[in-house]
Amino acid sequence: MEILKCEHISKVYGKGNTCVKALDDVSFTVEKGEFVSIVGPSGSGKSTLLHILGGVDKPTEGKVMIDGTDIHSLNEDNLAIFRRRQIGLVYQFYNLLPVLNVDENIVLPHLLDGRKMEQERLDSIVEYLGLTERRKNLPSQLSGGQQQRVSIGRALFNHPAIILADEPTGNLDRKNGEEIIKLLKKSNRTQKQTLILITHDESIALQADRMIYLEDGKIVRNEQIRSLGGGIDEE
Amino acid sequence: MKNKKIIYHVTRQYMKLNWKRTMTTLVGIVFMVLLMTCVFVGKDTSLSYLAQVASEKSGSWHASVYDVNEEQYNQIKELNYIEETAVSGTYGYSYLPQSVNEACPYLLVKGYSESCFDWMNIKLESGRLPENDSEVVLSARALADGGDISVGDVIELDCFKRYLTGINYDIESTFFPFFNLTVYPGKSVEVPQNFAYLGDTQDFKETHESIGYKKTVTVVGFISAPSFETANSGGYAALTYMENSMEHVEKANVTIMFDLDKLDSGYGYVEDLERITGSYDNFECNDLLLAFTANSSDNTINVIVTFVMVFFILFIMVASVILIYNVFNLSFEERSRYLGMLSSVGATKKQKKSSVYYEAFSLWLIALPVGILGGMGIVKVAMEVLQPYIADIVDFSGTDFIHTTTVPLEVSGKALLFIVLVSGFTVALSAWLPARKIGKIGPIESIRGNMESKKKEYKRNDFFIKKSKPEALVAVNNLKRQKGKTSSIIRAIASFMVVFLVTAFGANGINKMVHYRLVEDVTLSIHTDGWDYVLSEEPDNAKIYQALKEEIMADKGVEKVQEWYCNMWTGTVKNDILSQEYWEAYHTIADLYYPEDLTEEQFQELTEGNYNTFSIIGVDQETYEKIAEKSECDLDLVKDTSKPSVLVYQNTELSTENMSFDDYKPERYQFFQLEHMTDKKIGDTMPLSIYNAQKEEVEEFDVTVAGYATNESLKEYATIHSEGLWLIINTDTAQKMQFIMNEETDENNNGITRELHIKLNGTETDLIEKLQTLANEENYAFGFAKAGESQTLKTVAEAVACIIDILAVCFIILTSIICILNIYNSIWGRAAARQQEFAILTSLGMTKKQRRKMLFCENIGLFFKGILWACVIAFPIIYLLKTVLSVYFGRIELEFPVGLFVLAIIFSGVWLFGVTSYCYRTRENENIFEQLRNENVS
Repeated sequence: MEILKCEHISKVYGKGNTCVKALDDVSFTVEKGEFVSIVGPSGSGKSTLLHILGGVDKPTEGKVMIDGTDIHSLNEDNLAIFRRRQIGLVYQFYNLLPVLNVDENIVLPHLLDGRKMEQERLDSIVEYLGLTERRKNLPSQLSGGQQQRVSIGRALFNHPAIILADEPTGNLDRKNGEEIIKLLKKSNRTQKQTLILITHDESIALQADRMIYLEDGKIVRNEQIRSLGGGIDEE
Repeated sequence: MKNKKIIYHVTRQYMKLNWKRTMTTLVGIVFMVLLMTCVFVGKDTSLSYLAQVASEKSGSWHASVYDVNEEQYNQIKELNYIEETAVSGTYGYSYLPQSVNEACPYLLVKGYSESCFDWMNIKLESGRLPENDSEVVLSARALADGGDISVGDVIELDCFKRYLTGINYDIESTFFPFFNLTVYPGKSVEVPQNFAYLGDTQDFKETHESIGYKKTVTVVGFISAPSFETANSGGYAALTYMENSMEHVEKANVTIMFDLDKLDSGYGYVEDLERITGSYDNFECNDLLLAFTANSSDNTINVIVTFVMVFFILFIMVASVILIYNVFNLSFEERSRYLGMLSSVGATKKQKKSSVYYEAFSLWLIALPVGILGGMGIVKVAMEVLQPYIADIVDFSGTDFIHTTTVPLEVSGKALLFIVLVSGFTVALSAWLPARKIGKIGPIESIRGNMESKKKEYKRNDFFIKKSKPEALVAVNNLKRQKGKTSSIIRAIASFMVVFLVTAFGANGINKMVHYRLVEDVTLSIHTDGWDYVLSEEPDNAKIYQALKEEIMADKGVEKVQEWYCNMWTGTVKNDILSQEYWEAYHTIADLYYPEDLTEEQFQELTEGNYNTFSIIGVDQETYEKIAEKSECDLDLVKDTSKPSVLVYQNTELSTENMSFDDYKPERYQFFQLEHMTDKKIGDTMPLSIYNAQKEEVEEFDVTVAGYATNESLKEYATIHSEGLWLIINTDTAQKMQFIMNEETDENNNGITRELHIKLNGTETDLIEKLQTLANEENYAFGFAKAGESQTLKTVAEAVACIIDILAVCFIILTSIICILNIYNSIWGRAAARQQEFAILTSLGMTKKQRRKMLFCENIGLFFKGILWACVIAFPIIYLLKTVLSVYFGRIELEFPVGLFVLAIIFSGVWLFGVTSYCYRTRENENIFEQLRNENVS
């Protein structure tokens, strides 16, 4: 089942001589429960693509359909509502709210949606992320790896249609990076969570079901590495 | 490039990049310098101008010492602060046969040395000033009165002293209250120099004693009546020339000019002159002029001038320090990051600090000329605007001076130096704390930017989570967990309210001090607002008044009338009628007079058998009830006309000015405004003693205390400034008292006078014209004037009070602008620092509505915290101010400015929410994409 469909996405920054084409006619689809890695050199348009998919940036041309909804046809408020319900974003620099502790950061999108807090789900996610001992800490009191786990917890809490992760290991050492990827993969495999991940690291990219290679804003390769749900890489 | 220069370069770049913030800081510093200029230059300019006005009124001399012998003269000249002296002498009175004014048959002859003519502000109207002792100038009033005299005429002077001798042995004495002169039968007393000529009466006669000064003099000119010549003086001023030495005279008067720069304490000269002359009565100081040079012999005036300056400067400094500190504090993290980076490549702690100082002082250098010039401009404009206002409210013969001169700016090097030093110090103080804080931060902390969280654990805020209120959750946690970042806004709100409230309270205090101390207010002033004309009864003319009153009341053009009965010192009350508070204040004042504090026994002895006088204001029953309704009272007693009742006026004023003890001089000025003049309860009987002149005995008259009137309850009707007991009564009671005082009420009113307020209804009538004509014909038989016209003319001192009022308002507005800028800057700075936080919230699905709700919640918290801090800071300061004022001045009624407090709350609330809305709305549409890619959020 197709959960994401990108059709002829283009993104142009600036005008005239200073015009930069960050994305050029990018089209692809992602199946529900699929783990897709997007790779490419710096400036190839990976992050731009991810932010367009996440609805935090708008394409110059083309459309993005998530679970049948053209997200850029939504008005600002509806897009915000859509984002908090259907998309989980994980950033390289975590982007946690510094004034909220671990628990509060994780449940924030859920609360923003006006829903009652699900304590059991929170407990299971915190345990799943291995943050039980740090629940009352602020982000500044956590290590980089722990902060990124909180960020993943926040992304997962609302059962989003897609998780978009922008170089989630880029700011972490190898060991922490591996743990983060394991967590993401685990949610993808066990909960059929669709995952799109941007990375520079080939070894991480190769763990995905499919790898999209971007260069100068264009998809130059779109390779199926393994069949959907196949080759579960358990710990 | 040297390391320090790199720091400065980076700082400059940072300032350019954050130009809005830089501009706000600059505007804040400009305002600070501008305000300081207004205070220092404004003070110099206004005082110098007012000193000019005062010298026009009473002369430019500083002190005059009377009957000085040569030894005393030399002692005076030896005082190190004496700049110049001028000798003058009073020769006495001499007949002026050419005078046609029966009330002024004499010349009052004085000799002036050259400088005296100038210092005493002698204005020549025609001819020239005398150049030797055979020449004389006369008061032009002699000509105006029809005197047959002109320049070139020769006059024979044969000077004498004037005495009054009591000749009526049937009376105890004759008292002249305005001159404090009592004439006893069979005794002679010398009259003061401006005493009226009253001729011989059945009670006293005037006698003369020659002093042997005889001279033939030529009139060489006419002068405007000098300040010592009053309209009722018995002699016209005649001034002849006198050598400026004591060689040929035994005793003379010495007029002194001080070198004001050498007057150290501003008060020592009074003691010196007292020591040399032996008594305070032997010299006089030109207090008004000295007051404007902040050197008055009356220490209170100096205290007021100094207090005003210190108070204003202190608050400008506080407001500015908070503004500048807030700006640096807001930019602390950004600044610490680039400084941390510099630190990682070798910048020292000192160099990091120098960056903050560099920014502060470079802005100060730009602000200094702008602020000084702006301040001077404001002072100039303000003085020009105020000048006609001064002319309008100051009444004295030299009014033309105010109309015809411009106000010169008085910019002294000293004032400029003060502005530079105080503003420089303020800037240094503001930058010092952030500089110190930044100096302590290491490179890693700076770059990582996590300098705030110290606690180990932060409990989850379940209240808002359970209620599913994410906006409130983020808002509350922002307030609780980022105190450093929100405190700048709280500080800005609190400082605005504190500065606003304290300055308003202080200005009110200053205003009251000036009013109580400088303004020579009438004891009783019945307000005539809302009335058209006032008919007033003159002593011994009750019949005329009564007849006119009946005519007026019957006239078709009159809508309504209101009659007031007024009388001072109607009778006496016993000591126990007056409150404990009264006696305590009385005791404190007495202590200031006597060399040593009085013991309770001594005080009892002093006050035993005191004649505590009471005065009355009587009004019709309807108005009496209206006043009562506004006062604490028992309305049944008020309405019961069968028994005489009174409202006791409670806010009596006791001061060292309106009380005196023997010949002592008070140690300093002290003022008390009482809250309770009597401890008698409502319903109690108050026995009054009234002297019956016919029976020549004191009669008891009991009244019931029906309530207590205060300034507040009386404000619509009358103002009382008195040290005695005042009772408000109805006309029936007034008439009963009048009856006791004098049974023949129709012929003689023996003190109680009436005042009829008249309101016209617009119907055509010739009543007013008739009354005006009659009032001119029947001199002194009754008074008739337009409402408001009969009120006492205002003095220069009252002008000062008004000017202080205006300046205080300007000051409050300008300091408030600094504080308002501060609030704006803090909100704007915080909004700028939260771009990434908002980008995250947006990416997590927070809608605009939710964001506004979150900001609203945050602002509610900030607002209440601001108010709380404002209360915590402002109330003790106000209390302290009140204490300081009561110690240095006296107990005055200073209400907490509730209205202004509410206004400040409303204004700061509107400003906080308005500016927040503006600052965040302008950022709402910014691209969040780049923010999300930044390393961390602070």
